[in-house]
Amino acid sequence: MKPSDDIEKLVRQGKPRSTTSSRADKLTLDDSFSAMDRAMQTKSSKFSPGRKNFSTIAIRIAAAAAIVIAVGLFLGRDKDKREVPPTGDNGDTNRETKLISMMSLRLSYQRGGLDALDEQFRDTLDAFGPRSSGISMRDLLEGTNGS
Amino acid sequence: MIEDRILVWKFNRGSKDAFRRIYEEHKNDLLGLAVSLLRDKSIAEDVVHDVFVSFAETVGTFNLSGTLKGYLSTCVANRARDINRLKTGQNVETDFIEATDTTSDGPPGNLIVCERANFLPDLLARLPYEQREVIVLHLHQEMRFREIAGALGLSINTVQSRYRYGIKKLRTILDNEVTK
Repeated sequence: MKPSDDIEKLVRQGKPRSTTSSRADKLTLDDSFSAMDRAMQTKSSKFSPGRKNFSTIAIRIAAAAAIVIAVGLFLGRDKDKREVPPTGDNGDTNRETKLISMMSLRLSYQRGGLDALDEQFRDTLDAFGPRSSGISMRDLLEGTNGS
Repeated sequence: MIEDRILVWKFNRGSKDAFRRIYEEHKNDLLGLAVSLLRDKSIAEDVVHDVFVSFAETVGTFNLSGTLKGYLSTCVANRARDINRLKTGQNVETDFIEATDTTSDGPPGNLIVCERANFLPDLLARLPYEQREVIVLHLHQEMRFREIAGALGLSINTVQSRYRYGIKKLRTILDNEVTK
């Protein structure tokens, strides 16, 4: 058999077994670690707005979920209410407020889904701020009837 | 393979220890590849250095699709090709082979190994760079033709034909050497 018959084996066995010098190792590792530090600093500053976006998205999703649960509860309650004959006199102002608010929310939801609900909440917050204790009933319900 | 993934995962989280382990595991293999392609140990060391520094810069965003060895070998091959383009026509002497075949034993075997150690790099150096590159990546780095094709941006047919022509040429050279 001629040596050339097994040329692939010959080349495979002829793979050079080189070893890096300790000086080269130190230089490479030092430079690489510096490059890693630089890259991580750059990327961490680049990624921080992304985190903010993520938290905003998470808040929006949580708000949407809360709205869906509220609407679901309201629809269920509304259904139960239809079955019970009206007593004619409840006299509970808070309950009326909640009922009207829920109706306006329901109409908003029917009009434009979660986006419309979200928009209505945002408009309400913009108009009155987070504290509503000093606001009259009329002000609270104005413009929130789903129209 | 799984170990590669774990090391890369740690590396992406900024672990210098993981990077050091990757370096220790692959440095000699990559140096051997660079030496086979460039035939100059100091330039080969520079290539390995540059490849690892570039790799370090990908921390946090590095995405491993194949094997780490394949990825790093491709980086070395690409860097070596750039350097080879720059110094085309120059003839660089070898000063690097420390050992080759470890399977032989006894003085006659060692003699053959020493001869082969000088002979094989010269033999490979007589091939066009493109053929040498494919042969070294396939036979030394154990990369598949498909993997090489993807790494070098070539079709698999081109890679296979370069390999075939390279082996044929080596066979011819070797036959001529034996008949002398």
